Amino acid sequence: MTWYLDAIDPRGGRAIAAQRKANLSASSSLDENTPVAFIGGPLFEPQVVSSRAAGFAMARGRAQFGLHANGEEVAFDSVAAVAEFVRRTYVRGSGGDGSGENGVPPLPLAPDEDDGGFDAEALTRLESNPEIDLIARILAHSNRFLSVSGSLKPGASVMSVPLAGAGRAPSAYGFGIGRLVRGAVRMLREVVRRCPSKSGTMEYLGWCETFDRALYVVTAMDLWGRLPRHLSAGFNGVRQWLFDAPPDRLPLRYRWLIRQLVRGDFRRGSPLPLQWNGFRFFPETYDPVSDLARIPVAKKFIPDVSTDARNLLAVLSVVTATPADLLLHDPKAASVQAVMEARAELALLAAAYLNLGTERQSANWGDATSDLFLARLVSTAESWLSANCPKRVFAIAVEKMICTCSTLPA
Amino acid sequence: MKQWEDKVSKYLERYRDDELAMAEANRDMVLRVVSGMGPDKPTVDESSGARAVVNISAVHIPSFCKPRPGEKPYKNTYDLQKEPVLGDRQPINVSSSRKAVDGVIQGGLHKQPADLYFAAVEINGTGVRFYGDMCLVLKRAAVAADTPVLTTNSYDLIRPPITPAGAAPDIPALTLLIDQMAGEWQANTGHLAALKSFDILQHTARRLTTGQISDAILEDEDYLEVLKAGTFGANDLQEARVSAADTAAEIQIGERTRLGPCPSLAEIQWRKQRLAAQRSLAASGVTVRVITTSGRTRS
Repeated sequence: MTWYLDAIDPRGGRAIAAQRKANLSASSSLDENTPVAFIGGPLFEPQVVSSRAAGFAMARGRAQFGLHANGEEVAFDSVAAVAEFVRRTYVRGSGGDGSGENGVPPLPLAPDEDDGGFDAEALTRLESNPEIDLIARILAHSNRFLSVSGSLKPGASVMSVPLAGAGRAPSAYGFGIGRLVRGAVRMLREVVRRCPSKSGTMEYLGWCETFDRALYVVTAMDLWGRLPRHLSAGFNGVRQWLFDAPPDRLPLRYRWLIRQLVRGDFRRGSPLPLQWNGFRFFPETYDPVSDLARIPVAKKFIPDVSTDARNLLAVLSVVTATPADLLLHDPKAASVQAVMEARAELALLAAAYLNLGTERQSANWGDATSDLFLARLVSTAESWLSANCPKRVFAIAVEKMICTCSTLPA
Repeated sequence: MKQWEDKVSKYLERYRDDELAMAEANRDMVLRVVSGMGPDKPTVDESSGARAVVNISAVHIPSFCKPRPGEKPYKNTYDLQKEPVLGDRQPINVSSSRKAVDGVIQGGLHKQPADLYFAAVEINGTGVRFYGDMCLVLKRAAVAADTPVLTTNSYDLIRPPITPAGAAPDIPALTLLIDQMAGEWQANTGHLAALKSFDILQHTARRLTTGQISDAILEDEDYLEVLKAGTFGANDLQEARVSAADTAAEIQIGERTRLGPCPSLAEIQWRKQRLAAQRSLAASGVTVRVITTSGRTRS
């Protein structure tokens, strides 16, 4: 028999479901002798409970009573499908967390104008080929996911095909290093754009702390020397797109530091004082999750959430929980494809940073060894992204529903 | 409501003399624990004893501590009617089961459902975990003395054995019955707790402990329900509690985040929200305790 939700708190990651008829609203007594399961974080494994009364009581508080679409209860074909639905709504919903729910200071304010033109003019064009390119595989996975979803009837679900490519040898990830670096450029550009006009203010302090974390992300993966290779104008591109980015107010100290970092890395003859410092100008992080939650991204990558929720961690929630997020846009528009590609690069950067753990590059390594280190990191990041992608695909109406979770209030 | 004291006395009439002394001692022990007295202390510890608790998920704590202007801090389902939901919104009165139970509460206890905030009686534990990982413990003064306390979850009114399987709830009968199921917070919680403890624990051979009593009063999804009138905020909290099991998971996820292998994104978000919740509570002056044993005592 089919499973239905008696109560669900999508933002809280909790639900109680029962194997029953679609009679939640009509019945005035509780069916007994029917399987009832509680599903909750952090593992979202179904647990049997003895009575539906717990679910009804749950809906007296933050949980909503049942789940309906087009006037009918949403059906699930197994308790495993319900659990996966609750997990995905929770992960996508967490992408709507503001600074309070993230436990970090508010994001630096974005300038009013958007950043149109940067992607097209600044970054070198990459040929997208799923055989060698992780980002192309992510986008192909989303399209495949959408296609499967479109073929399902309401109430049905099927196992999802994993993100292709996981498990390849690290040497196959050379192209992915470029994607990683492009993600880093985008991240830095967005923080620089948000530099406040006045120093000595709380707003400026918050921005400095945020920028330091963004700089640390690049440092921890040792991507500085690679930045010019992925900007169309090379070193001039760094100046053009990071230093002189409107509103053109990056503090001098940061300009000098970035110039030194970009000119040389461990292996490229950078000034001795920088080498002695091991390029560690920024405090080691205690929590990479907080770092990602306080680094802003442009509105175009997560347009539907509040301004305070547009951060790198939220990008991960969108990309992993809802490959069908394309549904919210016109998937055929070239601009949409460009945004999806850029967003996937940001997700790769965030996933790589989370998977870095305690590993760091050494100043004694050569370029080839450094490449291998980063290729291995990209490979690990792809495996992690794959493991966090949906286990099951639902029909279009349900997939659309999951996409809306980050707009629900906490 | 002297009826609850009488019910306890009547319950004890079943015992022989040699059992009665132990049962009476255990009844007294339950009353002392509920009132906040230690096993051997005649004085009430203001931070001990039975409390009304609610559980909510960590993600809701920041907005509870700092509600938007015009919003209530803690919200019931009626307060949430204007907020967006997942999928289609259903009218508040669409549920026949809710209409039935709320009608019984309104008719039998003369309480307006829209103004009720459902809580559970708790001693030393972390509340009903299904409803949330953060257990908010209300100050004794935050609950009015005449607040109704039910012997069980009010939805048990419409399930067997009270309402037979497949039968429609008999509203007039249930309206009379709920009065028999309800005590008052100040006067009767001890007696309600004694009867529930006696139903669960063997109490004629050995003295009961604080931990046993605490576990018996609220275990899993079985609890005494408090029908608190009116909302509450962080200022009304004595403390917040989290379970040792959740805390262990939180720490392990944190260790894996730092050292690898990287936890799942769901785990990462869960831990992040718990840390943020604790920051919000700390900023509101609310202490968060990790509950390692339900038998804990205070100095």
